[in-house]
Amino acid sequence: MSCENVQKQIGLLLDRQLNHGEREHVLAHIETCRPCARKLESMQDLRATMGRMSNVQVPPELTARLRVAASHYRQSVERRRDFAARLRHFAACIRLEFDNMMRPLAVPFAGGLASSFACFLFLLPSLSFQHNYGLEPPLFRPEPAIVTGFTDPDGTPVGATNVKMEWGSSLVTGDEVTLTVLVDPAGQVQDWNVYGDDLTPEMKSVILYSKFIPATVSGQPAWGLKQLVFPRQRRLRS
Amino acid sequence: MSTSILELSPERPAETAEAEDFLLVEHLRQGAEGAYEELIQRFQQPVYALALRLLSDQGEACDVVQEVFLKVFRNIANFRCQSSLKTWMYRITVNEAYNARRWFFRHRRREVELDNDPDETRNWKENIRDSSRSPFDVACDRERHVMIEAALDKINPIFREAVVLRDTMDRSYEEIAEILGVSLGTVKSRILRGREALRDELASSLNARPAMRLVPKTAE
Repeated sequence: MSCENVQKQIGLLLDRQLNHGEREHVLAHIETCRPCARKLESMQDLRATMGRMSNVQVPPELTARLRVAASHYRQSVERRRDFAARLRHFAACIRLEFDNMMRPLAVPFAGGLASSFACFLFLLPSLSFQHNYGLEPPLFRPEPAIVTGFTDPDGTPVGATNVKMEWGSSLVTGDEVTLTVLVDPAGQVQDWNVYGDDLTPEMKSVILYSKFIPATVSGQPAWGLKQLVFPRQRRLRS
Repeated sequence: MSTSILELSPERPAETAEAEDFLLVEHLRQGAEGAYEELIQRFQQPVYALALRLLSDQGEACDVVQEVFLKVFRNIANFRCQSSLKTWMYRITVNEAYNARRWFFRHRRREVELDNDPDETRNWKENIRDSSRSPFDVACDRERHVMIEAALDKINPIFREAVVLRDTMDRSYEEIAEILGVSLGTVKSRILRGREALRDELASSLNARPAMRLVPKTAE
């Protein structure tokens, strides 16, 4: 076997592609031939070096790229699986887009909400109104009330015991005189009017010295009219 | 430094690997979340190593690996399990590397790379080597790798694929025939001619400029 043939078969020998007879022939030749032995040695060396060239480290960014690609592909597969999955994916995309859109506004919105709440707490005491905590229930009383049994400044009872206090729409007979008073929220008579006769001293004392309780609307004092009915006094012919 | 002729490759038993491949393919077809991660963990390194040796460019190799995995994801339903999963992925890698090389020659051949020193572009993690080997061996290996890569770049890509698959990726002749889609005789011929071309290139590069002689010395 010539050196040229043996050197062609060294590669096959290293790759164990020779049968037993060919292998024995080649090995026998190599044992006696120095150039062929050197070629075998150099080929072995080259193969070993090239074998170590496979020990390369994968760049970490490549692993990350592959994971991202796998994730995207898996999502696309899931999306195509059925209509419900597609809807879920669509909803997830919208939610993600909305979150991304709202993210820049989240801090200003939270800050505005917190500051408005703080301002409301600061202004809350000034927003409270006066409450009527008396015994009187906060009902609607359209007309002022009048305290009966009043007296004049001298302490003598005013002769108005026979006065009738009627509603503003009550009927009045011909023997009666009507005094209508306008009472302000402070309980003071601001105006008066007499129907059926002139103002009598009795009416004057009632206007001046009576204590009126003003009308109320939802517990708050208000303007109101009160009708007082007096018996008509007979005029003595002089 | 030399290895025995009868040294066996330290891979797992073929039956176990086939069973694992079959299970992984089934999980991928069902769309299981962990299957994608397992596929990446098991095959990213060999696929990247093959792409890097076929293209000699880290960025191109990363792009090719991504394309390979995307094709695997898309076509896993059509995988018939007639070959091993690794062989199938190697076949896709070789085809993608061929496409990338063709695209490179069409579009980027005239571009000039500003930073073409691989040692400068490596980060500190890549510079940490196996601690079981001496720095002298590591330096020798690095020098040899650079020379072999340069020589591989110059030989015919068809021969290069066969030599890399055999000597770097340690694939059998039958697997290489399946990956390249050629007959066994063609594989033997390509490997033989590829090794001869590689040896010639290495010899011419050594004759053109004297190789760096790395001899350990003591400080005087």
